[in-house]
Amino acid sequence: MFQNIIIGQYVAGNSFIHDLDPRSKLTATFLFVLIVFLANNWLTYLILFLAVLVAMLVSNVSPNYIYKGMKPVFLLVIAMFILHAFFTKEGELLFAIGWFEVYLGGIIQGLFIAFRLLLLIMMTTLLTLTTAPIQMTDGLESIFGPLRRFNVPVHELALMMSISLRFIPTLLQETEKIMKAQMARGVDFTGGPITRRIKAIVPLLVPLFMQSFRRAEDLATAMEARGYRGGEGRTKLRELVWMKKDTMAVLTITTIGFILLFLRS
Amino acid sequence: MKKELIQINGLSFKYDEDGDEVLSNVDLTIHEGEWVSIVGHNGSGKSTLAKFLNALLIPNESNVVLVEGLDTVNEENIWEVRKRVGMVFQNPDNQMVATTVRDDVAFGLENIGIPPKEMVARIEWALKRVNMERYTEYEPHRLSGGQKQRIAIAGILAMRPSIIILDEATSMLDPIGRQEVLETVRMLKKEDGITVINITHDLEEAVNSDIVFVMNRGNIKIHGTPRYIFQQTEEIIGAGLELPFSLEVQKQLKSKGYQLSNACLTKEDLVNELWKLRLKT
Amino acid sequence: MPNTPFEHQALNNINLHIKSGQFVAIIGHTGSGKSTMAQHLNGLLKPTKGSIQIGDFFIEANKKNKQLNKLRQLVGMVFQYPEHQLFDETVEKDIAFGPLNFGCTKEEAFRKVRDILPLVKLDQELLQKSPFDLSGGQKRRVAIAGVLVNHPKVLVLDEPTAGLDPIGRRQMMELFTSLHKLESLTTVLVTHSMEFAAAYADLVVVMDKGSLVMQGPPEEIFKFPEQLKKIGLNVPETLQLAMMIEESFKTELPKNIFTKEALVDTITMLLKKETI
Repeated sequence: MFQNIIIGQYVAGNSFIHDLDPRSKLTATFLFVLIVFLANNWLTYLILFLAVLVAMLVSNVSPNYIYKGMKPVFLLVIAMFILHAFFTKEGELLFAIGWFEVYLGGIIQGLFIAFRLLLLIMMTTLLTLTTAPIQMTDGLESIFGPLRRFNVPVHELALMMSISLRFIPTLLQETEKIMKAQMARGVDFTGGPITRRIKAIVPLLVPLFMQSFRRAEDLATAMEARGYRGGEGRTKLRELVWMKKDTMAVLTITTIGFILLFLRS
Repeated sequence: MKKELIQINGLSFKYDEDGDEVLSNVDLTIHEGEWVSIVGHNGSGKSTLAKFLNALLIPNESNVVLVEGLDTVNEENIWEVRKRVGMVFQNPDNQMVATTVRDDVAFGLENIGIPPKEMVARIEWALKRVNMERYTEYEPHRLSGGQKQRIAIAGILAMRPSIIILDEATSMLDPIGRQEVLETVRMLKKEDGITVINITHDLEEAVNSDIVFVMNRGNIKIHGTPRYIFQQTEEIIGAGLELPFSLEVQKQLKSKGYQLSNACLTKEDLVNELWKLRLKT
Repeated sequence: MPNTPFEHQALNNINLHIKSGQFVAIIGHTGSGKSTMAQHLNGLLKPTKGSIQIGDFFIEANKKNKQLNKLRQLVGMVFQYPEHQLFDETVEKDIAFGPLNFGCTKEEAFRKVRDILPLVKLDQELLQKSPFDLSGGQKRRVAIAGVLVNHPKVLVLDEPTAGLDPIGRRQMMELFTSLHKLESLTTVLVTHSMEFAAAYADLVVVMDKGSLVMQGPPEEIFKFPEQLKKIGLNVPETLQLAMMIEESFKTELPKNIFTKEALVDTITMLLKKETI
């Protein structure tokens, strides 16, 4: 059932984008998200689209992967389009069925919003496709590092994140095993009335929790035995190095932002 | 006389105030370069004892547990002790912290603040020592049990310890995995002079050790060379253990009236003794 | 998971016939497909090609099976570390879980629970305890009782002694051999242990890389140490020793020495013969 899952969507590669520091990628993506909301006419959207296209080309990730990453949210995009198309009453009236009226302005507005959403999804998909989960964790830990001064346990949160990533496959294997064991004792997880199916969750969840508690305990002991004592005085194998190209990437996005400020209507 | 690495004097311990004693009055000395086996059935207290050896548990009094002269009762000594005594646990799945082999080996080094450049070199070296250098980028769930345990050993090795404790580290492995792990540790003992403490319920694994401690009900019942220990069949059976295969056969032969002159630790020993017996008659 | 880069064939063209009442051992090292094969026996996994018949039940590739629950009642399955499947508040409720799923009334189920306890050597006093408060060995027995309580005709055991100490291992195997006789079960034991396979099985099935490479009674299978070594297996220790004696004494010994007692008898016979 779950043997072959891939955590996140990361596709290993050696492109310019892959090699960027996760912090610059996170910053750039964040800036992009802000900038997308500046766009409000054809020209500005075109510029953003070109920017995403260039990023995709440079990343060397097959468009197929990006398409797959976006597939689950297409429905949302379409829903956004319909919502705006039908409820924006601007411009020329195109047609009306009873009280139901569709205006040209609505269609355009709907297209813009849907396109905006698509751009956002493409960019974030690109981020997850080119950044290993562990790099993402490192990046977040470093970016939020200053919050430590306000007693935010940044290191601990990052560690929790990476341990969760480590144990997702293990938990899935475990789930499969317990499901099979309970199915052998007559549980039907897939059929039957909904109440019975909900009841069937208990014999799955309880053992899973018990096991996870034990794992957590074992892991804590093992970590202690290996000299773990919190973030203080710790070094890191993966050092984040901010290079010229990282500055370049962030600057490029910022520049696009300024251009959009001038071109938006 | 070899250097004393670990010394335990009269260690007693209970988890609850009013519970039973898990360890009672344990004395133990371990010397540098030895392969030590601590054997006992499940629940004999052997894993609790192991936790004292690298300061996961701390005695109440001073001078009870000494590791290379460091008293674990002292808060300042704990981290030094854990650097010197590495521990491989029973469940291979529950001791890998990181998402890749490389990061996992790095974990201990990061904890003790090794600079990244040196870390890279140490990781490479340690993975080579356990013959796992081709798996650097693997995720834990793609490894076999034996491979996971070898990664755990590499993680310890990278910290340059003087002692490795295997706390039932082979009990969840298949025969091939068990062999991989034991062979790896044997090689480390021989070539790097690392002291090995193997905690196990499998007496077969104790046959090749330098010294064996037999535990029962939180006590060390007997200790000595395997040759001496395995002649104390009553004590071993009394401790809820089973004799290694060749000794069990030897014992049954004895009850049929065939007395072999030496304790047969291996099948080769047994065949030799039988041969001698035939020559005599 | 078809159509993923990771897809691989776990089992390949297995033909096997198990007679009612047989004790079958499936041996092979990790990844040989022995657990996968065992899980086909009660429909937890379905073949992509071919068919499986158990009693009156047919499992065929590409066909929906509606009576899986009846099959699962017939074929009991003890997984590796079965104690991990315990979940209910009390031992009694946990063991009764199967019978209730299979349509027993509460009284019936609890009566079955009380009847099954002596079989796995558990005390009635444990019934109202939480299964999580028991010792490791007791937990495993409760889990096994939870399978036996359905009175299966076929019992599939996947490494039932994993993680136990030597005494626990021996007691567990004694339990299964006595159950096998008492309940006239057909038992399928998946194991790494050549010793268990040799000592208990009527039929030994050897698996490697998803294929069935040998099947036969133990004395036939363990005649071929070279072939077994090629796939990472060995002959039982008793036989290893017998073979060493054969070589050094330049003699022939029987090929069915599968217990220590048989080995000791053979050695004493040999010594007597030599002294005459």
